[in-house]
Amino acid sequence: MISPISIIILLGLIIILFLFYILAFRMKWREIWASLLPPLVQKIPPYITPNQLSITGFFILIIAALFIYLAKFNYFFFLWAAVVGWIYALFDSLDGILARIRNQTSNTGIFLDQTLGEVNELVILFSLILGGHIRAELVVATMIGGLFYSFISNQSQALTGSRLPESDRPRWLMLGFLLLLVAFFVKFSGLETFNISGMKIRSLDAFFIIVPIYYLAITLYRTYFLWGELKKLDQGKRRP
Amino acid sequence: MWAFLLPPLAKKVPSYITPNHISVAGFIFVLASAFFLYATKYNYFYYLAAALSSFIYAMVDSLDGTLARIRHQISRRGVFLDYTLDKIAYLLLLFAFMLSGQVRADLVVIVMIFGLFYSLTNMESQVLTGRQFSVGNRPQGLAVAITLCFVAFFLKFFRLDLLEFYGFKFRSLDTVFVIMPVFQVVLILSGCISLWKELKKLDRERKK
Repeated sequence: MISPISIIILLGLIIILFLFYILAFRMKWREIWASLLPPLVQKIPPYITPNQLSITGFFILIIAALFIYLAKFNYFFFLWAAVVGWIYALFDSLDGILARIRNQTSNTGIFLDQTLGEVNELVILFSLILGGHIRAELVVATMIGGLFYSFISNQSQALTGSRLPESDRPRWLMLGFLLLLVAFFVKFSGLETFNISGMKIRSLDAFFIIVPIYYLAITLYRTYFLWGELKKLDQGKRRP
Repeated sequence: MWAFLLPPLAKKVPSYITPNHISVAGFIFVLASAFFLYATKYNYFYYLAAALSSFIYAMVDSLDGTLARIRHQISRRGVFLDYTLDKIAYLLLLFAFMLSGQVRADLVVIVMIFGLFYSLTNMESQVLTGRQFSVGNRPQGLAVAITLCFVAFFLKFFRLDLLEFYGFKFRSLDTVFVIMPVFQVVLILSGCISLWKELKKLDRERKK
């Protein structure tokens, strides 16, 4: 049965999907951050080091994870989680820019940034499982896919000297941010489950299934290209 | 032990077989042991078959490295293939074991995630300092897997797979899989701490 409300809801979903496409694939987040952040960075007092910012970001992310869990009880927490996640994104980009402006880039900083990045991804996904918003199997597949992708990316850095291009964090953060908004919208409009020929499907599951598939596709694609690059390097000189 | 056994064997490999061929061929044994692990659902004697094919995989896996070193054919592709196939094998074996339903699925998933995280930090260490902090080498890891197969077999054989403790029933294999992630966390933390110290030293040297 088609009612005016369902048409409005459908339009809302289409608009969100369109926004999703624009934000995730069309905008150059790295450049936007890079133009936005330096004025902010200069206001940071000199006794705060970039590593301290990274660790602060980690604690902010734990708060976001807590909010995602609490959304189990009240879906307005999705909005709070989106706000806190936004602050985290700011801190996450700030530490790298601060280190570069002050010429304080260090090996410890790179290690902390990358390791905390992985841990953060796991923490957020784990809170999605605990909150029961999305099927645990899908989230676990995303966790394993993400870790495997980073593993290939690190290998690429060890063997060719450059990381894989999809590793830039801001884009992933934008995707997470949008997922939270979609989750809020889905709960708000009461579109949590829908029926397809007698099969009940949760709409968040249907939305989230894109992520592991994307990871699988991008890992295969990048491995293929990495293989070609390694072949070129091997033919240049036979040396490990 | 491997070092004594493998070079004579590697010399017998015909020259048209490259180390990469051997890596890929070794993967067939991984598939076989994954199948056997799944089949333990129906008959626990398959644990022995899984142990056997894992043993062959361990041998083949070491053979390709030895062969590449003997023939001076070490290539970037070989290194990449070796590491990546090894990780896929790790995930596949655990997944097959999970499907067989002998162990709680969430425990297996935790072991998978920690194992991947360990190799990830290991790779980071390679990128930043030029060497891995790996505590145990690969043959040791496979030896653990083979031992685990035997342990599982004997637990079934002596009917010790279900334990009762003050009226609280649990599977003995689950306890093994509880200990494993704890061990992995200790490995990750100790590796990260030593890596952190080394990176600090590197940073100090660079400042001077």
